[in-house]
Amino acid sequence: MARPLRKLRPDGSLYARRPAVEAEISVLQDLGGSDLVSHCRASQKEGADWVSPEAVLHFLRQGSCSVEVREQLMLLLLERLYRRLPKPNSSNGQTASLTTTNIRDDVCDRFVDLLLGDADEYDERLDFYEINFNQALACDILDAKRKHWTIENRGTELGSEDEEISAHVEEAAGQYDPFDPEELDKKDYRRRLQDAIDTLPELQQQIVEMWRQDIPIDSSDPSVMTISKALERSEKTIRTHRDKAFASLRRRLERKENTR
Amino acid sequence: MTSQPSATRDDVLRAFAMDFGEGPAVLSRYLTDFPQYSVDLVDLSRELTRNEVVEEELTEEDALDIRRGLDRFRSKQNRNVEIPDLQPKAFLDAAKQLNLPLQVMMAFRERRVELVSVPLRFRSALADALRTTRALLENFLALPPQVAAARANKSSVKPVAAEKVSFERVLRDAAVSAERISELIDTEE
Repeated sequence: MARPLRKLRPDGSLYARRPAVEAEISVLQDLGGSDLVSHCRASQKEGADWVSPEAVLHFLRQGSCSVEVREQLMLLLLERLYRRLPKPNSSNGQTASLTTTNIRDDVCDRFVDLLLGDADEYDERLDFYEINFNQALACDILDAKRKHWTIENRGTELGSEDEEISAHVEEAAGQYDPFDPEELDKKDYRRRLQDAIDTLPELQQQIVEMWRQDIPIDSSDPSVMTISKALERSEKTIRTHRDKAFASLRRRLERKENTR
Repeated sequence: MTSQPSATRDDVLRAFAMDFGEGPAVLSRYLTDFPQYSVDLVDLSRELTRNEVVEEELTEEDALDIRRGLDRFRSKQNRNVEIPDLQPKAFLDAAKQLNLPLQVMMAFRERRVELVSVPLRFRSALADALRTTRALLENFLALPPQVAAARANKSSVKPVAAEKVSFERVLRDAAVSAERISELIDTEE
């Protein structure tokens, strides 16, 4: 049984690792340091049954490994981390985005510093990475984006909130659903959809995300959370921007589909 | 999830991230419980969704950044590690004792050899030749590479951080015979 985590949920209960991670740790904990690294490397090369980054992190935090093994485990984790960080190349693939580079550096440095600090004194913030590495990483990516996008003063064109939508937009949005389950099953479509959403103004991105999470635009039941309530905008504004967003997504996705 | 007045923004966002896989109702629940973080929660939901999609192959740029991150880790994690005081003369003596070119020992002296590529038996032999223990030698070699001060001072250009390379490459670069390399590398542990 691996040592329990210490981080508490907002409701006061204790976080725990996923059962699959506990099982991995239990299988791997009898391996010596170098055998552990070899096993992790081998499983990575095979492409399937990777040792999870949560389990690797657990062993790295144990502190009983040699300097060499710690480095090798750290290398494994950094490789997992960089697979999920945004790439610094621009869409034309020729120029590197300084902001993205800064975001990558920030996320990596924070992770390394958390680990180094944890070696001196247990840092509960690292528990999140043991619970779900990718989701904890997403939090740090968001924080870094917020910081650097603020510095870059990235603006998004919102347009007039109450402006009427044109018949053209209304027609394009129509019954269009970018989250058609059949399309979402295709990995390539999900990636293209994500890229297309990234090009929308911030308010529209937020509306689309809440729509994706099945949150209604409005409701007569005051206890139901709605997009209108969460974003503190009128129902009409939300509908207008949803239609504009869907029309843009349809244009972009259909255009890309036709050029493939 | 019961709303806790003392829950910080970070706690709430990370709790949301940990629960995100439970399904679409999670966002609605957190928006209801923590309306003060609505925009943060929606933005994080987007990031988490993106995270489900993106799993890229590592690029050359990634490899450079990984090396930078590893160097940061190395340079700081070794603050409390015992490092042996290995004088240049010890490496000269070790080169003679192990019958290897001085160039190979310079690579060890400057910590330019990837520790993982050095067979355990050779580590023990080198530690003996340097009059230290294998564990201390490993601590020393795990430190970031360095450029020898004497060589750096003689250079007309600013020295750049050296890169670690495999033991085998160091031997080949020093023109050690293939037979001897095989003897040193293919040792049964």
